[in-house]
Amino acid sequence: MNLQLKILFTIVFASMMFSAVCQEFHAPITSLTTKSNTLNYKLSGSQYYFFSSLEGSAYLNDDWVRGSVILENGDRYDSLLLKLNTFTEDLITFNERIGAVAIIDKFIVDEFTMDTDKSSENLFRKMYFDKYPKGEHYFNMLYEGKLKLLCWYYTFEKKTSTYKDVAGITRDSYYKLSPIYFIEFPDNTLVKVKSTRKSLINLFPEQKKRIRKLLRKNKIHFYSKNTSELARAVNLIETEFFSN
Amino acid sequence: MTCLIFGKEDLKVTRMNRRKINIVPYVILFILILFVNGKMRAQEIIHLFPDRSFAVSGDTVWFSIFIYSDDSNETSEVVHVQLDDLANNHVSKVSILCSGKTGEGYIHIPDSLSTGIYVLKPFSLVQKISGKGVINQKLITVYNRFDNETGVIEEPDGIKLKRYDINKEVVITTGKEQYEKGENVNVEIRIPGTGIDQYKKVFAFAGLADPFSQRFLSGWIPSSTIAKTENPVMLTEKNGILISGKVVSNETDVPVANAIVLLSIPDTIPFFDYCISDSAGEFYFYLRNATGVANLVIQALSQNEEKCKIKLSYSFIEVGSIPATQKILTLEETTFIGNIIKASYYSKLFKGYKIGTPDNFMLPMQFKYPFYGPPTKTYYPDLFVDLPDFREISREILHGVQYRERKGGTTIRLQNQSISALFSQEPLRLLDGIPVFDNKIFAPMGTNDIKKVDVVFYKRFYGDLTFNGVLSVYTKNKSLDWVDLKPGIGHFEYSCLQLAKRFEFMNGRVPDTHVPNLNKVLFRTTVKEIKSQIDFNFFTSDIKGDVEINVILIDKNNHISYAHKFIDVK
Repeated sequence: MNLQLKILFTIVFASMMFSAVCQEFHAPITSLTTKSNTLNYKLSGSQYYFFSSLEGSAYLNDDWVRGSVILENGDRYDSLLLKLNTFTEDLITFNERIGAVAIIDKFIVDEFTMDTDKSSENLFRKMYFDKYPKGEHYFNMLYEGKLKLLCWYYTFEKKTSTYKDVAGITRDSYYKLSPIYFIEFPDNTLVKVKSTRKSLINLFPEQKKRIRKLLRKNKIHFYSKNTSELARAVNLIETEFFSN
Repeated sequence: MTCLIFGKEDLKVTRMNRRKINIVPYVILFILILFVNGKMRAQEIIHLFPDRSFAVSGDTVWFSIFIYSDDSNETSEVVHVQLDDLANNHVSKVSILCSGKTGEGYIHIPDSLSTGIYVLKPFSLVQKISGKGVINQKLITVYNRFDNETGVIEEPDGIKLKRYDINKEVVITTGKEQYEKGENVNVEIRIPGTGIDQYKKVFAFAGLADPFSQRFLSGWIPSSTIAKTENPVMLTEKNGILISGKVVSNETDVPVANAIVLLSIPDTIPFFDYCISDSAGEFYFYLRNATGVANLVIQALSQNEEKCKIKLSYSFIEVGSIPATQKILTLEETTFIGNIIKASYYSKLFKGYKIGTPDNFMLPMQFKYPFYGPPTKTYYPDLFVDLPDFREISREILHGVQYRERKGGTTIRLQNQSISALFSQEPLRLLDGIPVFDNKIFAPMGTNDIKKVDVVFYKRFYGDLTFNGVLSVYTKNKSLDWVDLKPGIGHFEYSCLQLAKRFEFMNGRVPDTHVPNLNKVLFRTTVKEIKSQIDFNFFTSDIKGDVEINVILIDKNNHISYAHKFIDVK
């Protein structure tokens, strides 16, 4: 072994020793400062690993976006870098101070916002859904009034013809995002609705005629895949039938 | 040439204009200063109304609190009440959670407290930090129950009590002026019809009148804080208390900056928090809704692994001491003192003496899981065969936990289930919720000692802290003896918010005629509904003397007035 290699190994071993003795409580890339202090309940979570390389995306937003998280105890964190994994239903944050990516514990989150272009569609709230899949899910609040329009972004693996991913591994599925809409009635019942005129009207069997007329009058045709038409329609129905 | 055109009058006008112009910036500056001062003066005012002006050592003094500030949104809701002697020596302190700008609480007068005048000081953290608050101090005389020959007492000298205004509109009437021992007293408070709307708070209390200290009830001593307290964080306490302290080097006593200070409170679901010390070594924690006396375990990890110690600050407020001179008591005063000390003796003889135990600690959990999240696995070693030590337990029961005892020391590694490998570094090890850095502590623990073991087989984050898995051992006896034996770990008993107890009191008739009724306070209440006529009743006790009925009224402009009436108990 030549001298250069010896020096290299010595440096490598020394740096390994250093990381082994340094405080076991924080990421070794940086030492903690008072910037880590907050009177809030600290954000807790588990390490997130970017594993799969299926085609499509497991995330609602592929790029990190700034957002706020409000915890169940009312504490608020602003300007966090967030991603929503709609496949595992995990809210992921990049902690810039320690350079770590973590899944924020679902049990502490009450709601969060993601600063996207569509300001009306960036609020997500954790709600319990008692039908399949039972449990707590993050719902995108598209409209909030006496009636609420919610969207559950659900990504699943869809079978396809085999292909090789970026790592050269053969795959036979890809990620497919499927938004599922719900209307929450004033009695807190959640009913699934499609972003179509027929599906919406069917929710109100006794008012079908009047709703049809109302939608026609207000030129809501559900032509675009944009959720704003559905939200507008819910708003109109609420004003017309649920104003008292 | 222009001056030739102007006459004398014109010249005057020009000068005046110039003066006006010159004055404008000063006027603006003056207004600005006034505005800024006004903003800064939006300070909190706290008044304390004890239910008595005197106490015998061992008694409990109850009080009402009224707090307000110009900025009502930012008014503190936690008021600290401190008992000091006249020389400013601190005796005790309680922290009261207020609601709707009022609060009620109590403070125990230590049994060993010597006879003298003491000061109750209500303050908020904002007042303490800003150093600009005026502390409205109330005086209370304490008579030591073993001190039978009190003839002289130190009383404030040269300081005049500020008095609440006497409210002449409010009339207190009782059926008669003289009462027998144990007789019912019906009290009627009449507030004129026009005045009802103007009052927002009314407190009423009645009790024996001490000829020496009765004047303390209707007056207070305002005093400024001596110095601004350097606090690492500015906070308005709304639902909890701020715990602060300093990390210093064990050897040199020099403040240690950027140390990770860990706070743990052992409980069924343990509380854990951390703070990074600032350049002055200071740290802080905010404990929300914690009531009772907490067992705080605080340890600090410095960047360079230097041994540290924790100095906790107990958050007393410092105000100027009250100068005092000796006063020789009159015969009436000494007789009264003798009577109430005797009454206290007989009361303890008949009712027994209960040593005040601190309130049990309660900390409502904010979330359903501990800070380390839902455990991946929970083991109950007790359900398995008897195993003598932790090595055996880890081998036989704790799958995924690698516990190695070697000559160089004991190591623990957990499985990382995310990547199906062992973590290369030690996990967070907790013993009854307290972080442990010496694995040897687990070594002697057998199945009979351990209640349960929570294990998290994932890398966890708590704020900016990272844990390579979590191993949390809960023992059966939950003793903190090991904490006191470990150097570098601070174990502190810290009073959090006082547990709310029923404030309202009415001295009733004692059913057993052989047991004397020796209560000194006969009635206290915060009037819930302010009406033109407020009625209440109480029974006189078996102690003869004057009884004073007091009514404190706070109007919508936060002006305090009071009305009172004496009755005679023969």
